[in-house]
Formats: sequence, C-alpha cells, structure tokens
Amino acid sequence: MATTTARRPAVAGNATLLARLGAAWHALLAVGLALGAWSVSQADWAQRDGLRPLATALIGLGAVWSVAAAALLLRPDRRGRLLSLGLNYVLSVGCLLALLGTLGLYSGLDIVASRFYRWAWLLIGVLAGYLIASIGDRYLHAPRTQAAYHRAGRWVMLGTIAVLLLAMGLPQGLIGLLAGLRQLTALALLAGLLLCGTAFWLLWRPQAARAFGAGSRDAEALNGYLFIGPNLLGFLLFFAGPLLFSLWLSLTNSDGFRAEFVGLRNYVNIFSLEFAGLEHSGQRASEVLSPGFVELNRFGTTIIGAKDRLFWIALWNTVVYCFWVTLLSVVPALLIATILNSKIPGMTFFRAIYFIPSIAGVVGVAVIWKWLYNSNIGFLNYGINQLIGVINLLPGVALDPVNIPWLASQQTALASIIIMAAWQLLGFNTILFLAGLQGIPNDVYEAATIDGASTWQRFRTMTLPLLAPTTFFVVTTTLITTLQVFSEPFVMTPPPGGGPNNATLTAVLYLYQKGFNRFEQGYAAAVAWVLFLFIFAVTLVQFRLQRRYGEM
Amino acid sequence: MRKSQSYRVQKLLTYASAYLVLIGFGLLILFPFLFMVFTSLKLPTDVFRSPPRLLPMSPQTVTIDGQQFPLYMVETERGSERLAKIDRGAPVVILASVDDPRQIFERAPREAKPVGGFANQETALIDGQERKLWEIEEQGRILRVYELSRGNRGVFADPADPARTFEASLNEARPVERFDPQTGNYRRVLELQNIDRSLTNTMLVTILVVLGQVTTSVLGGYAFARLNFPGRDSLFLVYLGTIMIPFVVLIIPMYQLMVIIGWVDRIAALTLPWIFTAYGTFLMRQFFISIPRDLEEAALMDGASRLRILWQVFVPLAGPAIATQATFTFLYAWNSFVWPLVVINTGNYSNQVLTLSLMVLQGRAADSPNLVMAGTTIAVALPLLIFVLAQRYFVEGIATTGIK
Repeated sequence: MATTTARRPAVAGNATLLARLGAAWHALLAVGLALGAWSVSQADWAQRDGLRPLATALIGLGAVWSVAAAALLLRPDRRGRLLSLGLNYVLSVGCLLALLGTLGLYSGLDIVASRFYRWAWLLIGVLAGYLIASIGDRYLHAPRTQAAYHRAGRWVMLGTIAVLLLAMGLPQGLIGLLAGLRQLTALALLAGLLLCGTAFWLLWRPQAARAFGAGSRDAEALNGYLFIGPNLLGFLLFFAGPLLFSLWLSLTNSDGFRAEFVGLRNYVNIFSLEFAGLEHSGQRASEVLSPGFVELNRFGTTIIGAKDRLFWIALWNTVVYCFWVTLLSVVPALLIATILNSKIPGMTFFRAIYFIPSIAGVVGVAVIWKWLYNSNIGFLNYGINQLIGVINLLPGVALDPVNIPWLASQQTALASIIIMAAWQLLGFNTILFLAGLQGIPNDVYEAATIDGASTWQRFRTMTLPLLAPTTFFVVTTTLITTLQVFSEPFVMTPPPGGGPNNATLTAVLYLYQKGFNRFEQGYAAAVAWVLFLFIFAVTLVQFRLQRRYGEM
Repeated sequence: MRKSQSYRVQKLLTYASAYLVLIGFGLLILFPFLFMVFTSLKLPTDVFRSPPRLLPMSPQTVTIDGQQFPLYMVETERGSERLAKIDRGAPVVILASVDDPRQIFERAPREAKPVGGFANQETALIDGQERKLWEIEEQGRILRVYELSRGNRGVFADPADPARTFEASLNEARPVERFDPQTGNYRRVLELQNIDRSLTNTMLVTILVVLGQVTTSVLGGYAFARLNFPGRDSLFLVYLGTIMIPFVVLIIPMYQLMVIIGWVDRIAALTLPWIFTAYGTFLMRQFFISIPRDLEEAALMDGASRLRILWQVFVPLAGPAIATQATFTFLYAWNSFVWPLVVINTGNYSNQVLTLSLMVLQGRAADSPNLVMAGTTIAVALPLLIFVLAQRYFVEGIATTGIK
C-alpha cells in the first residue's frame, strides 16, 4: 500500500510533463492546420470540382481536433491521449503516403512491371516449390518425409522469390527512391512524418498509458484502431470518399474537369416520360410530344415519349437480359446439381469441368463466342443445321436449313449474349447448388424413401424447401451480377458497343458511353445512382420474397 | 433374387442416363474452349472454311522434280489414289439433262451451245428455278441440258511415276490433308500485340492485389472479431452495407480521383485502390469469430502482443478461409475489365492487362481468328493451370461461402 502511495507523485509528474509537451505540440499543430486550411481556401490549385471546400473542411477539422486534444491532455484526461494518438497516427500516415508519392513509389510500380516482364519466368521456381511440397502430401503415413518435402518446397519457393526480387533490382530501386529525398517537399514531408511519429510513439508507450491512467480497455481499443487502420484508410479513400463524391457529381454537369451544380436536373432528365394520345396510329411523334421529348414506344393510339430515350432502352435491355440469364442459368444448374449430388463416381471431375467458364473470364469467353456466332463459318449455325439434318430424317419432316445472323441482327443480338452469359454462369451456380444439396442431411431422404415418396415428390417437397437459402443466394448474386452487365456487349458488339440499333445497349454500357465517350460525367454519375437504386430495390424485393417463402 | 436383379438394372439405367446428361453438359461447357485451342493452331485459309471443322488441318504436298504440288484424292481405274495436281487444267461445265436430271455430263464450255442463241437464250423452270438451256452432242444425239456447276478438269500425276497422268474434275477430287498444328501463330500474335507484357502485368497486378487484400482483410477481420473499440459495431454495419453497393457507382468518381492524383495509365491505379475490401474483411471476421476464445487467452496471459497472436494463432487456423479469399480475389483481379478499360485509356500499351490486350487484339486482327484465339488461349491458360493445381480451394471455397 505504502509503495503505491509513494509512487503516485512521480507518475503524476511524468504525466504533467508528457501532457504539457503534448499540449504544446497540439497547439502548434492546430495553428499550422488552421493556417493550412486558410491557405487552401485561398489557393488556385484546388479549383477542381468540389475539392477546395472539401480540403478546407478536412484540414479545419484536423485543427479543431488538435485543439481538443491539447485541452484534454492538459487536464490530464486519458481521452486526450486517445485523441492525440489518433491525430498523430492519421497525420503520420498521411505524411508517409505523400512522401512515398513524392519519392516516386507509385509511379515506380510501372518500372517494377517492366522489370517483372523480364524476370517473370522465374515464377516457374515457385510452381516447382509448390509441386515439391504437394508431393509430400502423399506421405500421410510418414510425417517426417512429409515434413521434409514441405520444408524443401517452401525453401524453393522462398529462394525463388528472393532471386526474383534481387533480379528485378529491388535494392537498387529502394536506394534510388531515397535519392528523391533531395527534394524540398520530400524533406518537409519526412520531417512531418518524424515529428508526428515521435509524438505518436511517446504517447503510445506503456509508461505513457500508465501515466494517463489508461486501462487494458484503452489498449485494446487502440489495438483495434491500429488493426482496422489500413483497411479503414483504404475504405475511406477509395470507397466511401468516392461514393459521396459520386453523389455530388450526379448533381453537377461535370465533364471530368469542370463542374457546375445543377441540382436534380440530371435525374429529372433521366426520368422524364410523357404520355400522349395520337389521333391515328401513323401520326408523327413530334406533333404530339413536347419539345425535347423523343418517341420511346407507342401502343395503339398512346405514345410514350422520353427525354433520354437511350436510357430507357438500355434499362429495358438490362431487365430482359437479367431475367433470361437468371432463368437459364439457375434452373439447369439446379438440375445438374441434383444429378451430381447422387454420389455417382467421377463427380469431382464433372464439377471441375463445369467450373472452367467461371475461371476463363468474361472477355476471353466473349471473344471465343463471337466467332462461334459467326453466321457463315461459326459452329453454332453449323451445329443447328446438322441437328435439322438429323430431324429431317424423320418421315414427314422437311425443315429448311437456317442462317441465323446472331450478333449482327437487332432481333437476335441480345439473345445471343444472353445464351453466352447463361452458359458462363451455369457452372458456378451448379457448384453453389451442389454445396447447398450436400448440406442437406442424408437421413431426411432415407426416411422419405422408406415412406415411399417418389423421386419427384422428394425433390418438390423436400429438396426445394430445404434448398431455399441456397436458391435465394444464387438468384440474388446472379441478379446483381447480370444487372451490371457491361463486358459482354462491349466486347461482342463492336465498340463503342450497343449492337445493331441499340439492341445490346445495357445500362452500364450506356453509363460508360456517357461518361467516357462524351465525357458527360455528371450525367453518367446520375445514371449510376439510378442503376444502383434499381439493383437495391430488386434485392430488397428478393429479401421480402425470401422471408415470406421462408415463413411458409 | 429376381427383385434385386431388376433393382440393379434400374440402378444401371439411372446411372447411364445421369452420365449421359453430365457428359452432354460437359461437352457443351468444353466445346468453346476446344474451339479456341484448335482454332489458335489453324492456318489462315483453314479458319474460314465452310462448313467449319474443329481440327487444324493443312493440305499435304509432294515434291516431283524439285517442285511442290498439292496432293489430291482422285478416283481412277485403280480406285481411290493419292495424286499430285500438276495443272489446273481446262475449265469445264457440269450439265444435267432436262429430260432426266440424273444424267450428268461434263463438257468444255465451248461445246455447249445456247438454245436460241446467246442474245435471247431460252430458259425453263426446273425445280422451281429458272435456268438457261444449252444443247450438247452426246453419242451423236443432241441433248437439252442445263448447267449445274462449273469447274476445272485438273491434271494429276502419280508421285511414284510422274509420267502417269490423269484428268479428273477438280470438284470431285478431295485435297489430302493432315493434322498440322500451326504453333507459329503464338509467336505471330506476340509480335502483333504485347500479350506477353500484358500477361506479366496481369500477374503482377493480381499478386499485389491478392497479397494486399488478404493482409488488410486479416488485420481488419481480426479487429472486428476480437478487439473492442468504440464505434466498432456501427462501423461493421457500414462495411456490411457497402458490400451491396455495386462497383458501377464508383467508376466515375474513382476515375476523377485517379486524374487528380495522377495515376491514370499507371499500374498503381490497377493495384493500390483494390487492396482494401469490405467483403474480404467481412469473410475473415466471420471466420475469426468462430475460433474459440481460450486459444488466444493463454497467449494474452503470457503477454504476447496482438499482432503476434494474430500471426501465430489465428493465421495458421485461417488457412482455408485465406485460401478461399485469395482464390476469389485472384479470379476477380485477373478478369477485371471495366476498371482497366477506364483507367488505362490513352493507349499506354506497356501498362495494359490481358483483358484490355484481348479487346485491342480482337479489333486489330479481326480478319485472323486464329491469332485472336491464340491470344485468348494465352490469357486463359494460366488461370486454368492454377485451377488444376488448386482446384480444391476454388471449388470448395466458393461453395462454402455460398452457403454461409
């Protein structure tokens, strides 16, 4: 008891010193940040889009934060330590990232890529190491041999990687980066990094924690922030930030360089529809529609006009595509999965085969199918005609050979892409269904079989309900992927895509054309948000259905 | 006894039909890839053959007196023979009798005389088609005929005995071909398009993205699963919510961000923004939460740091989960197309990735599907190889995340 009392003043004294030092540092920092915020708000270079107010606000926030940290540190309050640690951490990471940029690390990746091009063949060594290690898996009964193989494989892999890095000139590259320190900006950033880093370290130490009376909970929280840090930083920089930025962009007429706030005009333009009556079905659309509206469709004597006709066409194509691809890739997948689940030999082999299209990637598959669809030399028409030839062998049947134009015609272009996409998703969905089926316990089936249920009865009354969660997952992921279809029409119907008479113009393709061919990026951002809300709504409906279905 | 036999037959039938369906689907799945590989090995002339043929074949030749002649299969009095075509020969017309279309004649064009003269030649409706009528002399009689086709009466020689020559219609002679894969196509496509550089770029990008994503996800997942910090649960909810948000919403702002920080056309833009993932963090968190707490508590008592616990206790246990995430990320990074298309946009060929190169190649070699397919084969080969080696992780990983 006595020792504790004796020690307390010393600890307190230590804390005052630290607190004073920290407070002084944060006061200085606050002044610096405030000055920075002011200079940014006056600067020309931050004119771009909404960057200036954003940067000013962020730096101003830092200044306020710093003042708060200083005030709490002086008290002394352990929350002051947390605030100070947070600010110093953010600032030192910021300095570090900026320093790396100034030294040329990010652009240096291009040089890494060119060196890697020369030495990538060394990766064969990694493959060899992997193979050596996997030989070891055969010696299950001899753990020592197995371990020896594993160790040898690991050393071969690591050795190869070391040789690769050396060959690519990693040491020289790093030294080269350090040479960039001669620049004034780099030195300033380095100084900032060192200062903030030191401040962080001083308060981070266990002594400092004790001095501020921080418990193990504080330590855990700090650890938590530290661990989530890199992730959160990336999340804010490359996800949340751009997301909000996108929302703002959608309210402007940004062309990629300059942006003016236009309010909801983009959204109004996208959604503007007009219904009008026609005197006779052959009347010209311009006679009844308001200026700015173009005919979208007519039913009898009713005409629908839209300000952005292409958007509605794209949306309709996307919905048609999504519906058919989901149907054609989910139902057969369920069928195949049921067959594969019947424990017949060779299942893993077939499973692997069906998975191949998902690995090959959309672009490669689309390039292949584009040639299969060729109306003169393609295998699809040839195969269909061979089939017709076989059918014609039946008495009384005389079908004419066909010459389907597939991608070249407005009627068949979208269907062609649908068939290909369903083919590609089929295997993936089969694997998912198969996993779901294997999760259903066997005794459920056995009981039903003993009760005399037929295969179809078992499938309908047991498999389908028990498989509902998997079905929900499969359908939802398929819907979400297909609503974002872009690569297939972009690759298969020649650039800028869209196919004959916009037959394969999808929503994302339209977004791309608006944003990167015409550089109406504000408008494109609005299209993106509309599409997002649409996807969100579809998923929500899915969830509702699932819940209702699940309660049944 | 009889009952068990019928049971066995029934089982056999079920198996047979199941295999039939599975093999049928398997062929359907594999065919485009077979087409890709075989087409990539074809001669340009072979590619545009109609009707199409899968195997790469090239016409066989034979050398007679130092000169090369194509080999043909010709019907002679000795049956079918392999003969060298030494001359295209004279043009001929193939004609059919109007009275009996089964009677076929072969004549030099001069020998057929138009009925009613060239100026207003008579026609007749045959099989629903209007055809010009000709007259020919056959064994002293004049026959009315119509034209079926035109061809050449080629001159063929026996390679073993070049003096022995034949005349035969070229329409009936079939060229002798043999299986002849053109591996040179791969070299040519590398010269035409920087597929090799794109391949290594894609490898580098994929390696960096996979390593980065696994690292940040393991760290973040551990924090979400095991460390208590203020705001953790609401932050996790935000992360969960963003999984729903499709990438399309980010294309435009991310592009503008890249313009601002000067990463357009750079490898950095393909890698660094993608090493943070809400989905991967979520997966890792789910896995770490299922690990019993007492495993780490002992280590904590010993005063081990959190990083050390993560590295020595959690990471070894998380092998399968990490492998799953790595395969997901691998497929995603390797096949990503929209982002590279947007951000590597000013024709910086040396920083292209495979998907982009394929797209460009498709335009540049639109008239040579053999080269396009060679490029596609290169692009597809490596993921396929990795799939064969690590199939377990791919299939089972994706299957397990599907259920959860």
